[in-house]
Amino acid sequence: MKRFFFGCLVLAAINAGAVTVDSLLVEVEKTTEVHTDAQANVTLTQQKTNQGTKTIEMVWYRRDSDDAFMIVMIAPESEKGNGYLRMGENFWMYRKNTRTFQHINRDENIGGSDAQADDFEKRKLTELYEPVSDKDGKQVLSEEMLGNIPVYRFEVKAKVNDVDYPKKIYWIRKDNSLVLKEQSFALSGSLMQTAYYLKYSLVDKSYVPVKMMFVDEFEKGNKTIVEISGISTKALDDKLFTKAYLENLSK
Amino acid sequence: MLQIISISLRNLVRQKRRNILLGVAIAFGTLVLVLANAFSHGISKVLLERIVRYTNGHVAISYVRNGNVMSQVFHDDVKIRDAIKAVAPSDARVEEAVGVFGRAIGNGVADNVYLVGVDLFTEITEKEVKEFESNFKMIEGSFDRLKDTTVVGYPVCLSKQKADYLKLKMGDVLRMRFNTVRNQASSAQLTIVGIFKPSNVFMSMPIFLNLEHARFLAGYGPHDIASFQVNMDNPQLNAKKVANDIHEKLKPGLAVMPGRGENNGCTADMLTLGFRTDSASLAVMQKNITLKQGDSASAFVYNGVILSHSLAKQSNWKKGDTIRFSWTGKYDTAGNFTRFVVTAIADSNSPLPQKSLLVNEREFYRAYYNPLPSVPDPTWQENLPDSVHPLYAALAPEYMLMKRCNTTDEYTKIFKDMGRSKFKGIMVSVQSMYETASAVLNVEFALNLITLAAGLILFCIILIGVVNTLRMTIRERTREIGTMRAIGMQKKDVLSMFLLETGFLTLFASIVGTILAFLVMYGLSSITIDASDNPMGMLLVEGHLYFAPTLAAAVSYIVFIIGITIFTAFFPARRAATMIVSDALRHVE
Repeated sequence: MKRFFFGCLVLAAINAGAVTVDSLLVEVEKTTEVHTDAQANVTLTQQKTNQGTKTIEMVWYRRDSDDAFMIVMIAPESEKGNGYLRMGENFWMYRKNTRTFQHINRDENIGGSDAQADDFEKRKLTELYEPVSDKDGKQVLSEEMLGNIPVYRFEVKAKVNDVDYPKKIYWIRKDNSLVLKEQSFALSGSLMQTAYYLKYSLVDKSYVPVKMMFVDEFEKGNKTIVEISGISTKALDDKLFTKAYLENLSK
Repeated sequence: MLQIISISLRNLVRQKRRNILLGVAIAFGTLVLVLANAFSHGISKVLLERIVRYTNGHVAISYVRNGNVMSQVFHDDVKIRDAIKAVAPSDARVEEAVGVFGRAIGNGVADNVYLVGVDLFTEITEKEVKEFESNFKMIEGSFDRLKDTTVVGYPVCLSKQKADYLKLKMGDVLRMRFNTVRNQASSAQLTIVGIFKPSNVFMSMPIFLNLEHARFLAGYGPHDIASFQVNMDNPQLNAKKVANDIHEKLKPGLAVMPGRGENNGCTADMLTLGFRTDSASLAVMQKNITLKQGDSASAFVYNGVILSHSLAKQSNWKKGDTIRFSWTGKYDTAGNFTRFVVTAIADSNSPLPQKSLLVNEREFYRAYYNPLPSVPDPTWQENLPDSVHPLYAALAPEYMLMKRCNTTDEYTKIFKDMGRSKFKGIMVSVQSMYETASAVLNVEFALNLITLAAGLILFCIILIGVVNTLRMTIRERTREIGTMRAIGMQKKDVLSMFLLETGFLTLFASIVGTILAFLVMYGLSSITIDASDNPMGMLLVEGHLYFAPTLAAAVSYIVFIIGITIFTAFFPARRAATMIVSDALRHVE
C-alpha cells in the first residue's frame, strides 16, 4: 500500500511539471503579445499559379489603449493611397480615387490580399482553440525535431465556430515557445495551408514574427511571403487614427 | 344608321385600289406595333419566369449574416416555414436555395465555381421537368445520378463549358475549396456524373449537386436554412401580397437567452439580453441606465457588459468578474456555454429586467445563434421588456427584418446597406420578384415606349395618306354629296358616313395587320438560333425567339389606331358635311 501511495506521489510530481497543450497555448500567447503602440512596414509577396507574383506594400499602425488599427497602402500603384481604419467596432476602407470611406464587414479581404478584416480582431488563441485528445483521452502532443530544432508538436481544434480553420497543428520551439510551423485544416479534414514562421524579432520583450511564409496546400504553387520591417513601438499620436489623417495622406 | 353603314361599306369597295394601298399601310403599322409589343413582353416574361424565377423565386426570403451577403443562413427553419405556410396560397411551392461559392481545381486548371443544390426528392410538375430539361440538355450522364451513393466524394453535374475549361470529363474527380456559412474553410471532392449543355451562357456557371449534400458541405445544421423561394401559379396576382404577409408574420421580437450564470462558486438563473452598439442605441442606454459600478466608457461601448443590480446583489458578482453563462438550445438540448466579463453594474433604479445581463451585440450574437436558445418560460416572459419599455429600442432583436422595397434600385440599396451594416445579427429580407426585378418590367415598359414612338411616327405618315385619300374622295364625290344632301341626307349623316368609311378601313386593315403579326411571330419563332455561347441566348427559349402577345395589347392597339385615324378623318369629313348643297351640285372637276 505504501508503495502504491509513493508511486502516486511520484506520478503526481511528474505530471505537475508536465507540458500540456493548454500551457503551451498560453505560452505562445505570452511570448508574442505586444502591449505597446506599434508601427511597421509590411510587404506581402503573393505568388499565384499562372498569375505571376504580386507585391503589396503597406504601413501598419496600431494603438494599444483602444486596439485601434490603421493600414496605409503604398504599393502596387493601383492601391497606393488607399487605406483601412479600425476604431472600436468600426472598420472603414478608404478609396483614394473616390475619396470615400466605406464600412466593411469582417469577412472582406484587405488590400487584395487573402487577409480578412476579422484577422485584425484581437482574440486570444486560448479563446478560440482547445486541445485535441486522442481516443484514449490524451492530448495530441509530441516532441519532435523540426530540422535540427527540438519542438513540441500539438493539435488544437476550434471551440467557437467563427474561426477560419476548425483544426490546426502547431510546431513550437521547446526553448522559447515560438511557433515555427502551423498547419491549418478544413472542416473536411483536408490540409489547406501551412505557415512557416521564418524569423522573429524581439520587440519590447515580446517576439514578433518578421518573416512568414504561407503555403497554399490546396492550390499548389500559391504562396504568400509576409515581411515586417521598421518596427517602432513609440507611442503614436491620437490624430493618426482618424479619417482625416488617412484622407490627407493620399492628397 | 344601317343605311349609312351600308353606304360606307359600298364606298370602301368602290375605290378598291386606293383603299387597299391605304389598308396595307395601316396593316403594316399595326403589324409593327403588335409584333414589337409581343417581343418586348416575351423578353420580360423570359427574364422573369425563366431567369429571375430560377434565381430568386416569385417570393424570396433571404438573409445576411454578420454583414456577409454570401452567408445565407437562418437558424430557425420552423419559424420561416410556419410563416410561409400561414399565408401562401395552396398552390405555392417552397424551395430552399443552397449555393456555395468556391474555387475548384480540375486537371491542372483552377476556376471559380458556384455549387447549387438540387432537390431530387420533391415531386415537380411535368411543366417544370420540361423547363428544366430545356434549360439543361444532358450530353452525358443524368441528374438522377446525383443520388448515386457509390461514387467517390459528392456526385455533381456541370456544363460542358465548365468541364472543358477545367479539362474534365465524365467520372473525373475535381477538388473544391470554399467557406461554409459560418465562414470556416472547407473542401470537398466532387465526381462528375453528368455533363449538360445549358440553354444560355449564364447557366453554364453552376455545378449541381444533391441539395442534402450542398446543405452538408455549406455547414447547415438540422434547423438551419438557406434562402427560401416561394413559387406559385399566378405570381402576378399573388406574389406581392404573399411577400407582404410573410413580412408581417416575421416581425422579430427581442433576442433573449434564459440560462444559468456561474462565477466564484455562485450560480444563478438569469436572462441574457443584447444591446445594440450603434451610437443612437448607446445614447438610449446611457440616458436610461445609471451605474453603480463602472463608468460610461466601460459600459456603453461596443464591448460593454452590464449586470443588473438584482443579479449582482443575489450572486455577489462585481465588475471585472467573468461569468460562465450556459444555456440550452431551442432545438439542441445539449446547449452551450460562453464567458462574459462584466464591465459595469447598473444601480437599482435602472430599468433593466430582473436578474439580467446586458451584453454588447458582438459578443451577444456570437452566443445567441450557437445554438439558438430555448424560449424563456412564463416567469421570465413577464420579466421581459415590452415595446414601450424605455430600453426596448436599444435592445438586440432576434434578427433584423429589412423593410419591403418597391424597385430593383431600392432592393440593391437594401442589400448594400445589409452588407455594410454594423449589425452583428442576421438580417432578413422578404421580397417578390416584381420588386427585385422591377428593372425587367422597366425594360419592357421602355421597349413598349420605343415601339409606340416608332409606331406613332409610322402612323403620322400613314395618317397623311388617310387625310389625302379622304380629301381626294370628297373632291371626287362632291356632286354625290350635294345630291344626297339635296334629297334629304343630314349633315351629321354625311359626317358619319365618312368617319365610318375610315373606321371600317382601319378596322379591317388592323385586324389583317394583327393576323399578319401572328404569322410573322410564328415564322420567326420557328427559326432555331444557336446562341448557347452568347449572353443574348438567355432571351431565347429552347433556341427560339420567344413572343408573348396578349389579347389586351392587340385590342388596345386596334382601338388606338382606329381612334387616331377617325380623329384625323374628322376634319375633312366635317368639311364635306358642311358644304353648301347648291355649290356641291354645281361642282365640276
